[in-house]
Amino acid sequence: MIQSPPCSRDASTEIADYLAGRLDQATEEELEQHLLGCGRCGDELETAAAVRAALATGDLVGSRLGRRWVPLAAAAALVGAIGVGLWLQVGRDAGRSGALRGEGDSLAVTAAVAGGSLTVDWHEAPEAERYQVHVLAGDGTLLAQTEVDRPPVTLRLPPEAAPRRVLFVRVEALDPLREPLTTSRPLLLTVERAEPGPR
Amino acid sequence: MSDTRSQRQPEAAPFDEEALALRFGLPLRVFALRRVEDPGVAEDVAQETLSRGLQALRAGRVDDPGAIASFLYETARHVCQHHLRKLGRQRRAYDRVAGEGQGAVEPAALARLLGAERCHLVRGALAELSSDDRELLRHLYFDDEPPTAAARRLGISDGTLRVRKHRALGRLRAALARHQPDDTAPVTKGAPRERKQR
Repeated sequence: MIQSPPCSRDASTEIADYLAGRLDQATEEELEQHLLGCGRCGDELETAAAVRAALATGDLVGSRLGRRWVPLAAAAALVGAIGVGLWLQVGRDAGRSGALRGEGDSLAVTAAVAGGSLTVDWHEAPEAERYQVHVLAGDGTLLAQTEVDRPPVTLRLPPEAAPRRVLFVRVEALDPLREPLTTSRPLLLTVERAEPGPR
Repeated sequence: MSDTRSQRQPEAAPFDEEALALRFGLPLRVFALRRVEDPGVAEDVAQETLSRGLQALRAGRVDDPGAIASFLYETARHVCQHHLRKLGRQRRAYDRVAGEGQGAVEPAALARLLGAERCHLVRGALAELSSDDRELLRHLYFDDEPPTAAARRLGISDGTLRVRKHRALGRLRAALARHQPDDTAPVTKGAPRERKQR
């Protein structure tokens, strides 16, 4: 049996620092050796890594999303691979840049980010008079909203859209009475840091 | 997870390959990912390291099971360097070994390393937590908010934050146990072996 000695170390804070890259080399190596030798702290790493990985694949259905968002987010989750085409690499120093694509519903929403601005485009709906564009944080918090009469629209990226934050973009087509005609599938964005160097 | 893992320790086969992988597989993958940055290569490094560890145990080169962790750690470092050299990144490899701390473990790469199915399971478990627990774990392990900053923002002491984090992690583990599809595969073990046969 592979056993490890009893451990009373609270490694969870160090693990958070480790995953975030906040430790110096010597501390990192000491922690890595401990995590490998200590089953209990190794478990802490497993759990923390699992949280980090799981949240990278999108936000959680029903966390703080409003009720009306739940089926939409669920639909997005069911698509499964939706996130694959939607990763957005953000330049580390040059601000946000890049483009994304994804299959949408009849509005076929797409978005591109450049220079700290988010440009959202979509197919016009035949009877739509106006369009509302919502940008939400991964936890459902509304970050930005605007209303226009035709696509595209460019929004200033809110400060909350920091690297690795998950965002949703949704477009709602309104009829002349401002009743919703159709609503796009939430477009899931994960703003990521670019790789630090050439491979 | 610790319970599940310890329950799976084989009593009669001290150097069993499965036990070795369960105990050391995920940490080795994370350490490797940190260095090589590529989930596929990290998986290869972990597998090769485990294989060498098993051979060393069976050959009696590591006769103390307690020393296997140190052996695996050094082996993993060596294998990482070998991979980086092979990929023409010798300078970066040496910089990393000899230089300052490395960058963050990128969540997207970690997700690819763990695999979509496991991420889905963990997401399901996270969704069962209270929003407070979930947000705390998100800030600490995904948004990379320093624990002290998180405590200040929440208006609590560092000690209270530690307690809340500890409890949130415990509830997550309990939820993960409920989400476990069967009793043989740990939820947070690395992705299923998909590496190319050599």
